[in-house]
Amino acid sequence: MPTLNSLNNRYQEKRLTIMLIIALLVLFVISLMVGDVNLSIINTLKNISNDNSSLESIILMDIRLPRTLLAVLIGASLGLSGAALQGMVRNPLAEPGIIGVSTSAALGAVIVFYFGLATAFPMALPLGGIVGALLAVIFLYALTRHNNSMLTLILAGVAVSSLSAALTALALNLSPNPYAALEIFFWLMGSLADRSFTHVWLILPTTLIGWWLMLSTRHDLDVLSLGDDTAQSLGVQIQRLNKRIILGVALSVGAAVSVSGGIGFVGLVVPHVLRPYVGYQPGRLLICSALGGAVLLLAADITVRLLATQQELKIGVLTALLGAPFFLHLILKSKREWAP
Amino acid sequence: MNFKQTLLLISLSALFYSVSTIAKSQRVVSLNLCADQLLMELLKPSSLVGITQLASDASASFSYKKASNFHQHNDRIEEVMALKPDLIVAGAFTSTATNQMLDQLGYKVVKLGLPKTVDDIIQQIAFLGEQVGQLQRANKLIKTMRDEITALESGDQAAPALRAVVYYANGFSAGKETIVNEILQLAGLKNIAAETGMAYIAPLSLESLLVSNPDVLLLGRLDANTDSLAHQVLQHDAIEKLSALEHVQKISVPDRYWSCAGPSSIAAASYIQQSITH
Repeated sequence: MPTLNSLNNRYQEKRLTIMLIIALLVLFVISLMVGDVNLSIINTLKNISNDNSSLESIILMDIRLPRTLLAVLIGASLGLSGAALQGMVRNPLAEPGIIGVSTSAALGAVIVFYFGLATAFPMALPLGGIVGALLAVIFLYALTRHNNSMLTLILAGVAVSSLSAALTALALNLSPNPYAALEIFFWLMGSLADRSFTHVWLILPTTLIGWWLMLSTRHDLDVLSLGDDTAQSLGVQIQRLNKRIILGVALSVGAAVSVSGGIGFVGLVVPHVLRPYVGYQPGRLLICSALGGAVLLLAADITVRLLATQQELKIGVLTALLGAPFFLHLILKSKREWAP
Repeated sequence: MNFKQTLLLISLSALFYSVSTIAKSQRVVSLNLCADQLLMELLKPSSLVGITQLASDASASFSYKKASNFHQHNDRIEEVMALKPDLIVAGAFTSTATNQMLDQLGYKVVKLGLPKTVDDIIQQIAFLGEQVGQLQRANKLIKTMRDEITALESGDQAAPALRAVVYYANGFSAGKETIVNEILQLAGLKNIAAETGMAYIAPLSLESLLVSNPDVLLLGRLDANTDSLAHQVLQHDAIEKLSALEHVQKISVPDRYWSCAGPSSIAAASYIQQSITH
């Protein structure tokens, strides 16, 4: 029996989804137009449809398009994972970056990438990221299962993050490649510069499986917000739900980090901003957060391309500038929970 | 004391000083890869008592084979002191903390700058030869270089200059005020980055590279069996497609040719010249 309030929510949710899709399409087109070289998209597309290869078509199809697609894929993965994790542990601070999942995914990818495994077998790169992410999510889940306080989650996240960052630095310093040690910036801050279609194809399969796993839990997540016991009595298999979210987060975030480095705070900001529009229901938040994540990351990527710095700013710098004050705000808002 | 006397005194003392440095067999330690390469040409292992670890790295050092005859130190100040150097040769950009410490400890330190032209290189070799008391060897090295340059210049008179752009790790290119620019000129190529107003080593975006309309693309390469993000950009699909579409010659130049200015620069020019097919 739908109440007036939930009907109103559903209308709001639909409107929000449509607005996010429109924003995403607009940004997609802008992203194809922004770059060092000015080119007319319409002429270039005409050329491409006539099968005329030109420099413009290479720039559009092989430099700007893969970059845009990666921003959409990775942004959606981060937004969706943030929303799913927050629903699972019922804690608004759960986010792949803050709880150290991104950093441990970076560690896995670094080990695979710099020691020649990825050259021998390209799929090893996303798999390395996925294994790293999986270990971190399982550890954090085991830790917060019986003690779901904000303090435990954040402190454990700090520990996992710093340990993985240190091990990443160690692995980079041990790498035989002299450029490796300088590349820690990429792995900790993230960037989409000069990525190609190779990377899109590498992460697409696992990303889609991860999305499907997380989205398949959306009805159960709504029920779970009523509490474990109520959810179980309503037929929700909590173990199965947790397994799906853990695996889904590991697959999509692990793959994303392995080609873009760790980009923080997207999964924190987006679900938090959108939550009021979906009636605070964690399940209904998932799709909106995926769209919102894609919009945010694409906008951030366009911004770093427009900023006139000599070398392109790492995209994670921008999301952290936006997200860290937000994080602080969330902590201050919920400081009641810190009291023992 | 009048002016003439002063001049005489100065030149006499200079003479005495140089005689004393030549007479005593100096112990020289190098703290810089580029200094390693020059000093290995000028000194025997008995007087060049320490070079860097990088010197034997085939991917970074042009004279990596020679380096195995010399003792390689680990860059720590304790080991450098244990080698009892009379003269330390460092790069102008060696870490300032190390340089300050060596100054405080009272060592004689010579700092080498970065040459931008062949003339700079020749000056640097002559200066270094004087400092280590091997002027003859230095002059011989300079003569060999001059002969090689003459040989290079006689090779490329006929054809019109091809337009070339250098693309290194991390998407960096080299502009007008760099030794790379000089190397390209020696090889008979026009450096596009210099034309567009780039002065030093600076990043060049992949998009700008594509529209720069090059005939030759010189890609930096590292002989190592591991990947790095820095080198991934050199394998980008867009570069492959550019090369196919516009018939751009792609030439991989190992990093050891570029890493220092010196005799390796002439070798780089001749390597490039031989790799180009007209």
